[in-house]
Amino acid sequence: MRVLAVLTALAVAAAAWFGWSWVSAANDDALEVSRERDAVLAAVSDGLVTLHTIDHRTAERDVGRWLDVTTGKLGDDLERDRQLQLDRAAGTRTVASATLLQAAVTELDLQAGSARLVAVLEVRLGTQGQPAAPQRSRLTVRAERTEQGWKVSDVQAAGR
Amino acid sequence: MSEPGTEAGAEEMVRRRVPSPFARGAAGSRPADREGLAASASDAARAREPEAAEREPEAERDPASERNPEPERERDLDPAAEHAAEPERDREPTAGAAAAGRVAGMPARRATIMAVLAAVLVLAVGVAVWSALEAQRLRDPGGNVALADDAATREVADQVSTGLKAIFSYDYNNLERTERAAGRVLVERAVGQYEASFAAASAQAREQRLVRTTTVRSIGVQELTGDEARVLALVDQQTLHPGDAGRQETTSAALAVVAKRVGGEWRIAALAGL
Repeated sequence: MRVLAVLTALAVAAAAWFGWSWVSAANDDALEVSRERDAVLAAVSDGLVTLHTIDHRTAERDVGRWLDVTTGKLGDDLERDRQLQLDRAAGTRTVASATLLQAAVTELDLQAGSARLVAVLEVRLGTQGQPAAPQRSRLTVRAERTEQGWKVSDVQAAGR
Repeated sequence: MSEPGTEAGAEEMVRRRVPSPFARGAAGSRPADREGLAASASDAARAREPEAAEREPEAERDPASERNPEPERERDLDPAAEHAAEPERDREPTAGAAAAGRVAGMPARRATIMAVLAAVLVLAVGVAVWSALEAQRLRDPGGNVALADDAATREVADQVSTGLKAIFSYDYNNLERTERAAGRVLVERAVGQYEASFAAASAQAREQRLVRTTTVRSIGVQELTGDEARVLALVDQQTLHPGDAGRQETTSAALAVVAKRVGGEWRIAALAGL
């Protein structure tokens, strides 16, 4: 019984220790920043690839995806120019795809639910059936947190 | 007392007088307890009623009861019948019951405590394991404190920015200044990586009399763990051609940097253009 009592005391102590560890981890601001940093990086990485992907044969669906990954002014602009994008893709028979090379979060404001990032993509853009020539795209990006997670709200190319 | 049969008899007797629900429960669930109970009960019985204990076996070996086993079985089933059938044991139940009550209380409490302890043990182990896993899950990205540790992140970004500006800015009139900066800022692999490109750039700068100014447009710390960091920077390079009517051109580049803290300062340990 003494052994059992000692074991129980140890187990209770361990439970208290790990319980406290859990509670403190859940309330740790730094850990929350880490989680959001990783979340926004993942969301924007996927979002940027999506925004550089279009095939004139599936343009309707592709532009629909653009709208899914954007918000704010960029989302509004894309929504408004939806038909223009579709016509252009059809007219030039555009086939574009992209790969994310690197990305980093430069600023993260959890209160405001906003973030800034930099990203480098390799974009392969082909028109009129021509083979796609890969080119680098260096971007500064803004993201906002929405109810469906982080979304891209602005993209600027950082020159040639 | 030395006779085995005597002891067994006394024990048997006392056990029969133990309140039956407990005796059955204890006997059923915990063999160890039953042993303890039987031993202490017979001890108690022996201590209190030595003569009775010795006399009883005789009663059991009574030819009458041997000839007719029926009363024995009845007595087992009904304690009241026992007293009725064997009035000579009237004195005994008092002592036996007292002894049984005392020993019955202790193992009962003991068993309860053990059960509670065991339950608490199981519960506590469960809580400990669960919260350890949850805490681990929450702390998973904990190794990387980029942005989470604001001051440390700023320090890396600032020092790497300053370093990049210094090593990628040059004046054909004062290329030594850039070389000195490189010597200060670069360590490890970056030294060789830079030398190769700088040799070509400085030759061109001398030849074409170029002044190049590099600014950092944007810099993000991707990973920061202890004394090592991975940084992505977008830089703009403005190149002035004083010899060509002051013509000016601007290009931009992306640089992936591995930075290491050496002697309290962040140095560039590896460089790759993207």
